[in-house]
Amino acid sequence: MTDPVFLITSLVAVGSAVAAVTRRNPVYAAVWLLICFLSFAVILLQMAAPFLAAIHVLVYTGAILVLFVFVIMLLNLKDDELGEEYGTGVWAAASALSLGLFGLMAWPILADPKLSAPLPELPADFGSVEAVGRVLFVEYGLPFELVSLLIVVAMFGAMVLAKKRLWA
Amino acid sequence: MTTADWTAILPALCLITAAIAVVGADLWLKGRQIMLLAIISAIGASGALGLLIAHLRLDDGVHVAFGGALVMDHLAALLGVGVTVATLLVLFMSTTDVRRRHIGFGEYFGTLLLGAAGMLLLLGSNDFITMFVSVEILSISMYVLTGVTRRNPRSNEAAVKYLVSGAFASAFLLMGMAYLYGVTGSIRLDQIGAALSTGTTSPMLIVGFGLLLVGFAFKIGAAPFHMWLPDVYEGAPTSTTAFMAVAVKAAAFGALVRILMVAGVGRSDLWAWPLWGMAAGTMVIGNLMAAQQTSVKRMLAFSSIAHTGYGLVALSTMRAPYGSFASEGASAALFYVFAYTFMTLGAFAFLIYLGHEVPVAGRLETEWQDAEHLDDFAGIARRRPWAALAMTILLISLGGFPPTVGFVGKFWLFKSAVDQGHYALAILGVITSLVSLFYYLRVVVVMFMKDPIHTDEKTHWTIGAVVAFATVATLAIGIWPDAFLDAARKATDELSAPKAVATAPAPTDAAPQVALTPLP
Repeated sequence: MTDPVFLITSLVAVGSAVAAVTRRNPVYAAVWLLICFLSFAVILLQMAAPFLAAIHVLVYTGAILVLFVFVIMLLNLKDDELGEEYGTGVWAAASALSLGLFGLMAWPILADPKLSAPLPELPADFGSVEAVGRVLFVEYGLPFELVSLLIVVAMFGAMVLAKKRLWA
Repeated sequence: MTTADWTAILPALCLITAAIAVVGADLWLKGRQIMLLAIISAIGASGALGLLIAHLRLDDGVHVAFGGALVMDHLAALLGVGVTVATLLVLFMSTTDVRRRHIGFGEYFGTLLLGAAGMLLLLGSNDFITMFVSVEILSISMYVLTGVTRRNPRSNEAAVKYLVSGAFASAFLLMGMAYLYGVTGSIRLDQIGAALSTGTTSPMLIVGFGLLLVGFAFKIGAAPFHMWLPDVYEGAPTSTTAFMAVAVKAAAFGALVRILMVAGVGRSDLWAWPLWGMAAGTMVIGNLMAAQQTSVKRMLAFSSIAHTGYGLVALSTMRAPYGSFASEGASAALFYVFAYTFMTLGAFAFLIYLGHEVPVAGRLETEWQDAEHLDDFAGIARRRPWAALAMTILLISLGGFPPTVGFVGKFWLFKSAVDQGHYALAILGVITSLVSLFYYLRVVVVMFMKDPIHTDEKTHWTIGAVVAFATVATLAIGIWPDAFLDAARKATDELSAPKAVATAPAPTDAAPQVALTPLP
């Protein structure tokens, strides 16, 4: 936990996430989200998961965030369309709730003595494309195939939402 | 793939194949020939139903498939029968209903079938990843089906509300799974159960089980996580509401029972008391809110919350106040959820049965509107005595009176509560059941004793047939419940059997567990 790189990247991740939530201008929020995703990729790299880090950059910043920006540009919201700003009371309550939930989820990790023990030595190919692929396609072959089903459902949903003529 | 693999996945594969075939055929047919699409879907669903019934009849033990990711046992088969019967009934209703609501047939049937496939997979899933992916499959198909009437603002609002709250629930679920993995180093339910039974302990377990329960409470609509449910059930087209109310609930309850009995059996102290509180709160809130509604559809939505509460009573009584563990509560819950399928589906179908067309403001067309307000039911018994009688039987069953299945279910449920020494819950359950009679019988009174107000309902025999089937099933299972009670008992026996799942065959290509090194 004292690793300076981890400390800096995680602080950047948390800070940019907070900024992404609190910015009023949606484009600024999207850019903060981009920084948040990138710092996550650095954390993954540090956890000896280079493949996951690359996928994270590709999928989140490459696909999802670009989609966000497209939608923001399509909607082209004016300032008065963004709605009323919340009062300080609402912000205070929301921050207190978030901090409370974070504390609730963080204390057991800090309180568990086993988690402060040093981790076992990792295998040499840990986190490599081969290792991830073997786990993904052999050990978790079924869930992997089910994800394709998930995408089919999402596609049906897009068809329902976007189809021009509703009935013949 | 081995025989066990095929046995476990074939029912879901039937539904998936039918879903893809329907959407493909719809492109070909360009939106005509709804009956052909319905027949393809029905063949898929009937195939799944036949396979599941065959498994129940053959009774040849637990099939562990895909290296322990998926199992086919009595729990998956029994509730799977409930899910596929509900799918078939909704398909049958849809042949009329979809046309009247101007919904695209192909996508509707396809999404419905894939949702049902997700439920079957969820019922059989034995590790957290398969479980989570299945939950997402069924959730996304339900979001789509909720918003499927695109021109109806209520339907759109319901879909967005469901999507946002459902995404939160999924995040909680996933976080809980991550905590349990962190403690035990495994995502397989049986391995987690083994680790917890042999004394692996950590403060992370409290948060892990807590988050899991929150996620599932969202999905089944248990208080205090029920806020989304009335709005979504009211806004969704009624055939979707019926499907959500019975099938989603059955699948999520089945998965919850599997988690609690396989993974959580050694640490019932962590989840029994939260469930106890949720059960009590859900029964009280569901029944009290239902009593205040004048919209029958919203009343049935709150009543489904109340019934979730009764199911949770049974689950929480698995742990007695003095700490011993008994699986009787789980079998009572399974039977109750199965029984609840028929009565609730029938009651919602009755709302569609009495629907009528209303003019849309500012346009020349008409829009389909189901019977929702109490006034829509006034004097129905004079003009349609048989339909009114069927609805009366369904409502009596929901209230828990003999000779219906609702009575058998509630009797067994409260009996398991009393046997385990949970007197407070049993008394609370009986009192809230009495409250529920008030709002169920109010509909009966309006049907039989008021003068008709609306006489323009457009009934159709397909929907009447669904109501009739549900009524007959409610009565028949209520009078001869033994086969289903036995199946529910066997389901929990299989889950309690220590080696039932642990004898999983190793994956054929033995993979080194590189990414899954357990924590020290």
